[in-house]
Amino acid sequence: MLKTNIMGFEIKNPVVIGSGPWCRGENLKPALTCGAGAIVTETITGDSYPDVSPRYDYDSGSRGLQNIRLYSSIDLETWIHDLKEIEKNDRYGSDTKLIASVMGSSSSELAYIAKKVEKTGVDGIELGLACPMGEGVSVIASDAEKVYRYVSETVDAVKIPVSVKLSANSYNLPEVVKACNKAGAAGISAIDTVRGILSIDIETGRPGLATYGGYSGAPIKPIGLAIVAGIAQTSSLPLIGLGGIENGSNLLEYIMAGASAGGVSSAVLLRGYDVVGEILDYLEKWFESHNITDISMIKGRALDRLKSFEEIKVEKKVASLKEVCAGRDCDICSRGCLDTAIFNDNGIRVDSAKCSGCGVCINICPDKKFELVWK
Amino acid sequence: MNIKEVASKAGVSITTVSRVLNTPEKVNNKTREKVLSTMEELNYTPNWFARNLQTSRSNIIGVVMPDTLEISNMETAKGVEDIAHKHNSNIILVNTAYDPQTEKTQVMSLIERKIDGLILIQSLLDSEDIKVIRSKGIPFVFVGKNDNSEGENVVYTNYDEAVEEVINYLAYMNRKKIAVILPENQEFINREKLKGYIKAMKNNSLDINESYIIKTENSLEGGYVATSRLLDDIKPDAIFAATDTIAFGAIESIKQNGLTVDDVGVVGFEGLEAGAVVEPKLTTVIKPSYRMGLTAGRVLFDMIEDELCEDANSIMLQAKMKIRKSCGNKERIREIW
Repeated sequence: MLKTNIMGFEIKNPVVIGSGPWCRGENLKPALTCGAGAIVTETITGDSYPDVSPRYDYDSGSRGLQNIRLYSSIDLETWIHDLKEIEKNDRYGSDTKLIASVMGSSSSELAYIAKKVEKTGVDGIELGLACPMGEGVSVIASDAEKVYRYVSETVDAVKIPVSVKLSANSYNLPEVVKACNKAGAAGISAIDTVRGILSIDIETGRPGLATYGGYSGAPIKPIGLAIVAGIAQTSSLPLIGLGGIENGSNLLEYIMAGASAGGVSSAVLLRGYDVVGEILDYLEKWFESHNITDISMIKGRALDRLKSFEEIKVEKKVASLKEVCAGRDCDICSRGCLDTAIFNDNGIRVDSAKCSGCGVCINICPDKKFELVWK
Repeated sequence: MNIKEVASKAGVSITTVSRVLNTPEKVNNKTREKVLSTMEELNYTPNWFARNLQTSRSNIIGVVMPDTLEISNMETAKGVEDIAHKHNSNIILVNTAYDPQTEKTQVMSLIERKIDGLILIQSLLDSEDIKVIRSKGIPFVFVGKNDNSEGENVVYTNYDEAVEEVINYLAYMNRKKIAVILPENQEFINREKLKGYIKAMKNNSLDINESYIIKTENSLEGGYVATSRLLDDIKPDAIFAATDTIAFGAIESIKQNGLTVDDVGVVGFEGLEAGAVVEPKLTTVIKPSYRMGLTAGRVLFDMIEDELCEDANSIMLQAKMKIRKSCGNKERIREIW
């Protein structure tokens, strides 16, 4: 029921553990055996990168996370050893697919590393072209021509499928996606973290972490959904949607935005591998209760409902109270009303002549007392 | 003789030649025979066939470099050594002093010592020498391109593009009279760097004059003296010093002449650690010397241990411009990325 296809092969369910330090060294075993459809290793490069301390900053209010890690601190030889060990151990009895994330400073270096890693028996290669830290003001994944070179050279070098990870910092997405397609990529993952500074201490003037970092977690989901939907409306390459997936319903949103699977990364860091099982339980129940027997039945369901501005019909609607509100302790609706159409006169009232139907009150009323009705 | 020549003579692609060698069953008979007979005709032996000629291993790798006092060479050697240790091997370092004859003699002496493979840094060997190494069955990898590296295993960096970026940056910083100081001896690298210089100067419609380009000893004093001469003769507003060592000498000379980097900006090349602490901090290009050693070491052991025996690898590692203060940079964001 939950099986799906990513980058040219089938996975048993649409939960993918995204690239990061939760998929390296000793973490590879729990990642592989927690029930995910696939896991993507931390990004492997030609050199190891030192881990700075601290490298994470978290805002528990917004559940946003910033990290300033670059690529793996483990060297290529150790990676190859670790990945070979996994194969020797028959992947600990797991049928989870194993994808290696790799990156290089040039297309030829990347292709070489991919070739070395392929030898260990991984199922696929993901190119980490969109890391927002360290590389430069613009990420490689903004440059369609470079992306084409990186992808095509890697595709030529290996026999296993190659996918590309893009991010919100990849500009010219339609061009970049086309370049991936033309170069023979088998899939796309989006989005990588968003370049961000989580916080600044106003007493000391010090940013939470020492440099610009990658922002992830719940707050980036809207950005991820928009990019995944945009890619899905550009190309038919299978997509892994990532960015702020915390639970099963978030993952379904990505599927409906056109992804074939959804990735969890920050959620694994913050809550451990159990999050995979929780998402799978939710998906099974939801599929059953909605009579869904295959992901294809809901994949991209939201795409047709995304309209151009010209297609959005101007419906004359105004706000209206579903029930009487005395407005004694709360006047958030009237303060938030852009049309000054909501006022308190012995209770909350709406001047429907002034209301333009923007919908703000419906969203901000803590008791959800408003609705939109035909004018 | 290399795989490219075989492919072109046989009228097939390099990939096809590679398939004939690695997966002959995938190539149709006619093509296969044609490729094999071309190989025979051209007396071609693939690089990696070499490994079969050696029956036992000494677990020693020869690392041949022009100058053991150059930090960049030593960083590369360290990269090779780190890989060698992972394969239970040691390295022997030899110095050629930029002399092809010395290089040849040293290489032959290493081969007599039954080394398993060779790393040739900035090699000056000619094609005949390379044929000899191949005939002895010794796998080798070049670090840095040279006149004979086409079609061979080579790990290199993009000097031309990196210097182009440097000159574009200097032009962006409004520098117009940009001089170049090159180290003596490094002929091939100098040529590559000049390619980038000339291209960017033209693209930015800046004058190129022969007197802007001078050579000196690759030392602090060399950089100092060359800069003093430039300041007397052509009064440049920027100097691209092709090595960090020359750049340090250049900055000292500018200071001694009562000028600052706002008058004459300096950019180095290499990325020596000291560049981050000298005053003003040196804008430079970080050459991935250590990583070139790692990568070349990996490619060499691929051949020795029969890991990846396909066509020759030509692997480029990107050199990266590091903007600091020595050209009067005021935009801090450029120093971060």
